[in-house]
Amino acid sequence: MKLSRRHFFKLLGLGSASVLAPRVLLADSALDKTDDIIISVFLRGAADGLNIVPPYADPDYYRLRPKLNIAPPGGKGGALDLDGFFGFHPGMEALMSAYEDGELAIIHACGSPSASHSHFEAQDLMERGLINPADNFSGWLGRYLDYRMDDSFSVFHAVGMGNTAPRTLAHKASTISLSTIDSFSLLTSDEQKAEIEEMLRELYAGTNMLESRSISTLDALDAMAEAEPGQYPPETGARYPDTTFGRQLQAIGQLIRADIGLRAGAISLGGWDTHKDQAATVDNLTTELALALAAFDTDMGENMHNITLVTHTEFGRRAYENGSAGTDHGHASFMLAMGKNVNGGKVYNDWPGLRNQDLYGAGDLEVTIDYRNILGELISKRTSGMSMVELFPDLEQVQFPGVFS
Amino acid sequence: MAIQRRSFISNAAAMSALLATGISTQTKSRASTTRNSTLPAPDADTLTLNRTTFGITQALKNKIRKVGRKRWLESQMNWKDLDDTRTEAYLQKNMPTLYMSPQELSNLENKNQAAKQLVQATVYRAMFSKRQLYEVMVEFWSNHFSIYIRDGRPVSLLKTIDDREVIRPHALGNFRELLRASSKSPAMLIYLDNHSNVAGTANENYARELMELHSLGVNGGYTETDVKEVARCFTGWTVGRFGSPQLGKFIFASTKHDQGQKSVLGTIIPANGGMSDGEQVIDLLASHPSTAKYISTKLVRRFVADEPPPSLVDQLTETFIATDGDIKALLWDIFLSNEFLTSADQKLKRPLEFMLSAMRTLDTIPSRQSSNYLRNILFSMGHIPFNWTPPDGFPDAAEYWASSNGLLTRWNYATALTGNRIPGLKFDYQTLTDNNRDPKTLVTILANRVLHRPLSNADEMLFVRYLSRGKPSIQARIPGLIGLMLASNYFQYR
Repeated sequence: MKLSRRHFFKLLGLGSASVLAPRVLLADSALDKTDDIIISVFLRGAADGLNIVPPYADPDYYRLRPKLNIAPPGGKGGALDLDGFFGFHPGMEALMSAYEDGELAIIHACGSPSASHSHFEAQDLMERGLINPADNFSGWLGRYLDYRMDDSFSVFHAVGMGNTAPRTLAHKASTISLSTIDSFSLLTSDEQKAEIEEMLRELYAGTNMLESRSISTLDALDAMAEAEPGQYPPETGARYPDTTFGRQLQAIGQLIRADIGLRAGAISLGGWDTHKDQAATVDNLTTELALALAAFDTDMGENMHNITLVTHTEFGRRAYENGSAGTDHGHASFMLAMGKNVNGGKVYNDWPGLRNQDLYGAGDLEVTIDYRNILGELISKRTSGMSMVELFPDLEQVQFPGVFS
Repeated sequence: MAIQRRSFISNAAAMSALLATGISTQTKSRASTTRNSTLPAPDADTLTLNRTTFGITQALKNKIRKVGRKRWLESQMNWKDLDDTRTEAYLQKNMPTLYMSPQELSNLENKNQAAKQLVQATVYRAMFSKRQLYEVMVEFWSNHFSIYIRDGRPVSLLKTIDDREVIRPHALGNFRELLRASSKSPAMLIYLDNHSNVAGTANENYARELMELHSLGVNGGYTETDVKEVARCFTGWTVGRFGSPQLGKFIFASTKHDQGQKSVLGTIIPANGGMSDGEQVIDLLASHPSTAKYISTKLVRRFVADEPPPSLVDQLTETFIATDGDIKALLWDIFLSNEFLTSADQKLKRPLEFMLSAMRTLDTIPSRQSSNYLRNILFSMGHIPFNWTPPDGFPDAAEYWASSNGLLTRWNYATALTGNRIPGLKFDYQTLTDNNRDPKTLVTILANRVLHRPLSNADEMLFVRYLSRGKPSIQARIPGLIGLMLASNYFQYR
């Protein structure tokens, strides 16, 4: 069943190759290569790429952001220089060493070509890897999992941290969601535990969504009890921030080191919707983000040869600031990619400029790199690959910028 | 699209069941066969109570059986006639911040009290109020006009006013009035940044969410230009600050208002309209057919199915337009529809509903000592009232809430509740069982008394077997049995 399914999709990919040659890229990776564990970090609320990765050498930046800007490198509160044109927000300092070591890449003026300025619609589309709403409710990472799925997959192959799993991971099998590792157990006496588990397995032995997710949850309880990820504290020197996001990323690290079979994880950091008094919020959030990612990098150490982490956000913010010391909804923003197989130390961009005539729609930074080409390259280069038509059905031009090797 | 999505979900479920055999090779015991997912349906009275209350109680069941479904619904619609003095007396005594003015709230020594008491009062009313349908609708509109109560100090204080003066007066009233009241709600204006929306450098946050989330819906026919124009219409709609006699109240600051001409959804709003610009926008939105359809869809999703049947949505949309948004008329359309009556087990209880309905069905009374424990349960399932960060409100779909984290927490809560492991909460099963000892009789009694619906033969046998396993005795196994019933699929749907 599964084999023929995969063949079917391969055929589908090859079949359309003859018609639409440039769209289709089948993975060239060797089949014996192990797939990377992929961690998706979604920055919810539309993070301001112009403040987090300020184009300090673009004079129009300071014209559009007279109050809400990051000063050029050098001064107090100035940007941390990245390449002579872009800098990092000072809150991102913890990630400078990964950038300098070539393990962190930044992609700018990047995002979805979708014109949506609605958080909820844009997040949903981005998680599904689509531009137009369509009858395809799997997540982009979920489609990759469906494609790769075989008997060797553990119940923990996909994990979403939090109350529920993000759409990014939605696929045909169940995703496990957990808020903390410690709380993921049946809280009852040992004798009762076996009996309760057995009864629940009987009661939920059907096939609807509630039932299949219940059975997966019971399977996950067993797998967790066996792997005991709680016994893997972070490596020395890895200091996760004591926030929900920090703890959740740490838990993903523990699952990875417990070798529980994780293939893909998704985690969110919200709060980026800064219509008002943006500066303080972005200070706090960038610091939290950078500390957590840097801790994860340290914690995983050599494992980062087989782990790739990416961040994205549904859209960016208006190029010019509003009257509330904030910014309204915009278009392009930025992405990060981290791992030992990332061609890092570089800001990938095709800078559209910030002159009035360069702006998109109501006054937004234009998207010049489609986020799907970053994620598509990730799947192509860091896993045994899959057809881009299958992964991103409405991506018209496959053009990988070379972020991954 | 609606239907396709549902078939996707069930296909996905079927696929996952097929894959499950492969995935869970490491697990020990598995049920030997898969079973039919369709449970024997509850009757119309049970379905109605499940959908229109925070959980069935024995008293409610007796009442609806006695007067009939329609008359029971009528009495709930006429909520003001339902005597709720005991609930209100408790709140007046214990939750004084509910009744405070903005000035009094801002003078509170412990300012966290206001948000805390509002959350507690909301859960208390859901649990104890006789006006169950009203409380369900208060929850519905609070979520539709969602305000994150921890979004800074002013909002945490002023949400109390929003609850008292915006949501509650209109919850079973008229949508246009509700939308109008919300547009002048200080908590909303601050939460969505309109209090700093001024001429020249408009802030679009409220304008966008007003159309996307409160009225037209995301594909309701407005453009990016409309967002900008509506933002201009609402410039100067703000909130009185400290030192002002209007502290915490809605004010229109005419000097901050953009007096130019605007064009909204094709309608010209002439220059120098002042505050009437925004009021005109509210009227345009309340009369717009997209709003009628969007609100109807959301109501049908709340009361009928995650994927609302289009036939019923169309019917409500017509009623919405004909009655100018009469909320009771919309609800009657739903409750009297065939779509409603045939929709058993299509709505998963959300965590708050699950938590309260378990206590209500067992006649177990939470106390002050249990409130922290219960709060933690809600927190770990992500469903504390007014604690949804973005402005779209908690989802109301099984796909979101049926997560492994959520299901596990439900199971743990059910066994803790019936195992008397929740501090300050005493569960007494004796009153439920009439001291019966025969396993089959016990299962029948409890299914009726706790689940209010018939079991399949297979599940009845399963529960009987559980009781008859010996060691511990049948009697000692009854709480465990009830816990399993609450943890089972029979109790997850509303």
